[in-house]
Amino acid sequence: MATCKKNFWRAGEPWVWVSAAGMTAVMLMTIGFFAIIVINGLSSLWPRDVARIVTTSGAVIAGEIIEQEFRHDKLYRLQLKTANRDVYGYDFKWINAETVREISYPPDIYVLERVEYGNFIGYLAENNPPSIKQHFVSETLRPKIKALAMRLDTLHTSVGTYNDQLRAAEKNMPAEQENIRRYQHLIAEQNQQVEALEQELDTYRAIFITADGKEKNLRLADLMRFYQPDSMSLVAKTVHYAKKIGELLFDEPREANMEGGVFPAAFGTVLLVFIMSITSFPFGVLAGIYLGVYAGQGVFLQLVRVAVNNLAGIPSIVFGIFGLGFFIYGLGSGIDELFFAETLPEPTFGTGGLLWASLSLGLLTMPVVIVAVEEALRAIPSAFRDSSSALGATRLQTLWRVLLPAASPGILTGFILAMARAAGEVAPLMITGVVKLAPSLPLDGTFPFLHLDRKFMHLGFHIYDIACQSPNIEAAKPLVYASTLLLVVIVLLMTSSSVWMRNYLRKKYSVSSGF
Amino acid sequence: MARFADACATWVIKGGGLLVIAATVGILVLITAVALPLFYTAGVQQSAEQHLPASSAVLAAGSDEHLQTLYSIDTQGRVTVYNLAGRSVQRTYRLRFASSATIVAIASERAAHHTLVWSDGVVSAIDVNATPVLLYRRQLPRPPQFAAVRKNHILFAIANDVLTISSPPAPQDRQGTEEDDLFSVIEEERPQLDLSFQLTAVTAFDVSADGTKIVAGNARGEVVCIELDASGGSAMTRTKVSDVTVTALQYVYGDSSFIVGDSEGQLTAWQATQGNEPVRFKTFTPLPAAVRVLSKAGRSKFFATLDARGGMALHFLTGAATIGYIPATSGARHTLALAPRDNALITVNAFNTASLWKIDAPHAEISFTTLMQRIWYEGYVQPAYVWQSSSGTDDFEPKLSLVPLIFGTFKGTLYAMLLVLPLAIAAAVYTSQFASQAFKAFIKPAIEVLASLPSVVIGFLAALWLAPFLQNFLVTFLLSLITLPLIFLLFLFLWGQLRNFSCVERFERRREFMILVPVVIVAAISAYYLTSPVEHYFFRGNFSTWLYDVVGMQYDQRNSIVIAFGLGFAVTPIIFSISEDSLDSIPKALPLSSLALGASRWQTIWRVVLPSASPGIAAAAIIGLGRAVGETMIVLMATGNTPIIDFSPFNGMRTLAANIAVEVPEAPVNSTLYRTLFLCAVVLFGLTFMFNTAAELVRASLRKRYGNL
Repeated sequence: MATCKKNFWRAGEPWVWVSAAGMTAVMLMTIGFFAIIVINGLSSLWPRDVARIVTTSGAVIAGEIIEQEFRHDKLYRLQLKTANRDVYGYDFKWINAETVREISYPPDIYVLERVEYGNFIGYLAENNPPSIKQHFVSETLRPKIKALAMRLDTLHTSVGTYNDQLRAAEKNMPAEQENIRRYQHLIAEQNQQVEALEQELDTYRAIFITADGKEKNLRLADLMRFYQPDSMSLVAKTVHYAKKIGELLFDEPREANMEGGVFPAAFGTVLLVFIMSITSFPFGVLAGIYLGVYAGQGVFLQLVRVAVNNLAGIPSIVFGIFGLGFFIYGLGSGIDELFFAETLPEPTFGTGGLLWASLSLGLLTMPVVIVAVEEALRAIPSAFRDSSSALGATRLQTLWRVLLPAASPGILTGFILAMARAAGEVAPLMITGVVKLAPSLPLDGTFPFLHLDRKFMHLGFHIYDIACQSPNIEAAKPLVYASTLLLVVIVLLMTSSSVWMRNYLRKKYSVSSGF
Repeated sequence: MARFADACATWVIKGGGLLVIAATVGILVLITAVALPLFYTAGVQQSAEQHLPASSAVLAAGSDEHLQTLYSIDTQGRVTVYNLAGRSVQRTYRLRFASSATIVAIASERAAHHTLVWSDGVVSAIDVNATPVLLYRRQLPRPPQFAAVRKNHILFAIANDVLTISSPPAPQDRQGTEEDDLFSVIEEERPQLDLSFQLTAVTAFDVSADGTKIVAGNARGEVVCIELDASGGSAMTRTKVSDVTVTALQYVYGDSSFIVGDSEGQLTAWQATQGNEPVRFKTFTPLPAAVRVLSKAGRSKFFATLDARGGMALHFLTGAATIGYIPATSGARHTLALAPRDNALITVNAFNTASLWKIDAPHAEISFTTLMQRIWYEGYVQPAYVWQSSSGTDDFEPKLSLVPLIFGTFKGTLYAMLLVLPLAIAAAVYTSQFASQAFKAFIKPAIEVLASLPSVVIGFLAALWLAPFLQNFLVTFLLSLITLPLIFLLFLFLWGQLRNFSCVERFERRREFMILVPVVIVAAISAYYLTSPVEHYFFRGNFSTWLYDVVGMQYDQRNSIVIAFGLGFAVTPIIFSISEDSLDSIPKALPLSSLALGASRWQTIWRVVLPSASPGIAAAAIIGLGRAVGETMIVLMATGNTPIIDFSPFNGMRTLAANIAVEVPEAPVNSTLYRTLFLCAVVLFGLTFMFNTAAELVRASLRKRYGNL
């Protein structure tokens, strides 16, 4: 027994355990990392119950309990999302646990999602007219308000177009005197209609009372959604949750990106990756084919290898600053002087935009494609190539008919990996054209449809922006966790599918090469 | 046809290879090309010459903002404006008609602003901007030796070594004396000021632009500094600045420091910080002869000098740089001025020839010295490495030292490597040598997927989750660094006992890392329970206040520990997978023969496997290092981005990469800051190139060693 024990130490077994401990630490950290993202991301949109808290001093406050802080194993304090920013001046509050006298969950309390000032939490007042009360039971007024809001929207757009035409007409002043007067008349007329509609919308109002008894008169048109979390069933909550996810994916952001959806950001990311792919992948494939098939043993090959290696190692911000110096201030300013001289000094291509960001990213992801293509071509058993040559095919024919088809799954894998890398990269975009809030999508119905010069939004930058530059970080947290989860899911799905595909193919070829 | 197509394709594909080289070289060339003008030697070149009528001696000269005209002021009190394009006299203005008085002394505060002392005791101040405008005029009993008029029309005059500072007299006193002047006097009512100081043997004199600071030099090499405060009080210091006579004195733009020139040509810069006696903080290359004229710039830290032999030089304060010394070729120069936009020098020589010298020094504040060495900046008590690119005031001196940024880059990387290297390498050794095949088949692709995790996600979590978490549980975290090894050791002792049962040994194989999970959890929980007693007994109840009070360290929420974890997440997958690959690529014969000779599994690994794989592991570490050095988003989000030089793990840093991201939006194209940021990119490129090449060399040696096995 003594020898055994001695062996454990003398044979160095503890060191095995030390290496195992390294594995454990890496594993636990990784699991923890994903757990935080997934738990926070998934729960951020779930409708939480609203607690009504009575403190020892008699004050009443209502809100969602979003955090409980423990100290020495005792509940020390609670963080409450009280909402009602316009009433209280804050929308989060820490409450000392000792001062809490009573917590209840009133079933009749409402959470209202508003266009402005964040959510509202409160009760529907008794003195509301019956039609309003009915609305908060079965949304009876919804179609009517929606119709009014839509009419208002169309009016606003038509006033906008008339204004544009008026401005255009004013440029050649004397000639279009007649038109100018007509437009001015039309605008005035429509503005009157707008006013009338606004007034009509204004009549639909509801009075709400906060938990501590403050009254607030709210326009129904400003309410996006309302619900009573404390009386909702699990099914109702799930439906609500699904709606919120839909809103995240397909809606525009509101309130300095802290509320609403991330649609323009997700759209910008997809478009960016797409343009990056079609501009850079062809070159990556060519270079990969050179390395995999055409390269002899020479100085040139060595140089290409060194170049690929270094291109892969250059920090992403350097690609960004290269894009700024070369694409934006070099090429872009040149293009402006040649083709857009009439709008100068207002730059068209001489400032950050979709095209320049895509090209900078294209350079960044090129090594990924090159390495994947080379590897895919090298993995093809030499028998393929030899038999093709033996049958009299030229190098190009062998490449085109035999090697590329056989390597195509591997090449595709490389493409997906490169796209995943591009989707998650933010640093180079920050200086080549991404913005926190773009007025319009880079793809729309006006000629030339795809606006390569426009600034765009990006999911990764969206996360950076709301996480680090938002005025109210607590209020932005749910959305930033949700967008993070979205980005992680997109990127990890892309990579894991391509890695799985590649490993599957490797296995397949390692079997087939044995013939 | 097919052959032709084949040949074409070969060229196109080779072109693809060439393109990769072109892209890499192109990136380096472009960023270097943008950064390079920072180091161009600045130049001063003569661009125009104008002969002035030799009727009387010229005392001062200057030019307009656009360098279209020159003007001269002569002893007769005439201001002559010359059109440089037509090389002709545009107009001559007589400052005084009815008097035959001549100008006996002239002092120039900044471009186009002169204080004149007349032989009949009149002191006047003019501003020459296309036409001369009289700003001030006053009759003194005798002409003073030196005079200067500053803000609020306060006159500083030295006569018989007595300095008097006085506000303009009440307006009615001066009625009726203006008829003989071409220009009207601009007057404002100001609080009265009337001070006088006794000085000795004054040889040079200057007053700051706001009139609150006065320097006067004497023949004994001393400088007297007088500072006036708002309440009318004053403080006076006397400092020995030279062994010989002080011949020239001039405040530098911004007025926080002044330049002293002496009769031996020594040129030094002095500053007084916080009311102390002035100290010398810069020494310039001495001039060949006594310093005669010092001319100050109106918008930058330039100043120009003229020596007794008529040679001139341009200087820049920040780097104590002398930009070219131009000796007098024909006729000693006696008058020197800087143009209003600091873009030209105007000189007049003994033959009454005025010359315009264009200054081409867009980046005079940058040199290798200012980028990489300690610089004693204005307002600092000692030389320091500082990065501060902008400030609220115009007279701010940009401080662009790359040292804090390079330090920050390596600080973040160092802490990350301290955390990650042991963990990642241990995990790689475990995975390749002890783990089951099934686990290996799962972990390798999983780690590869992990490597593609967007860094903005890691940065976000580090900044918004980890940083507050660590702040709340700092002591717990630090304690767990102690409890973890202790409990681990305890566990090993127990397990060593338990292992005598063979079933335990069979169970443990390939499951070690799972068995350790509860150990880690126990360690974490024990650290948690120890927190409050430890904090109470050792750290007076609160660790971060204790840290600040006793150790003097500030605890920042976004600190190096947060960065270590953040960067750790980014580089662990890389280090892990490369080391694991290199461990796996060792020919199986090596460990098998070692085991066959009776070595234990750890002995085999320690003596056989690890030495063979060490170049690969080193390469993994270097590549991870390269990635950490260039990482932008994590550092940008999870540090405060303060460019400090401090090794403390409890505060942050600013890295080269984050610096580019932070500053580029504020940098105007082709400005000094813009080019300096490109220089940061060049440094980053160089660092990563170095790391990649080193890793490649190490790997190549590995390949060579085991290529035959």
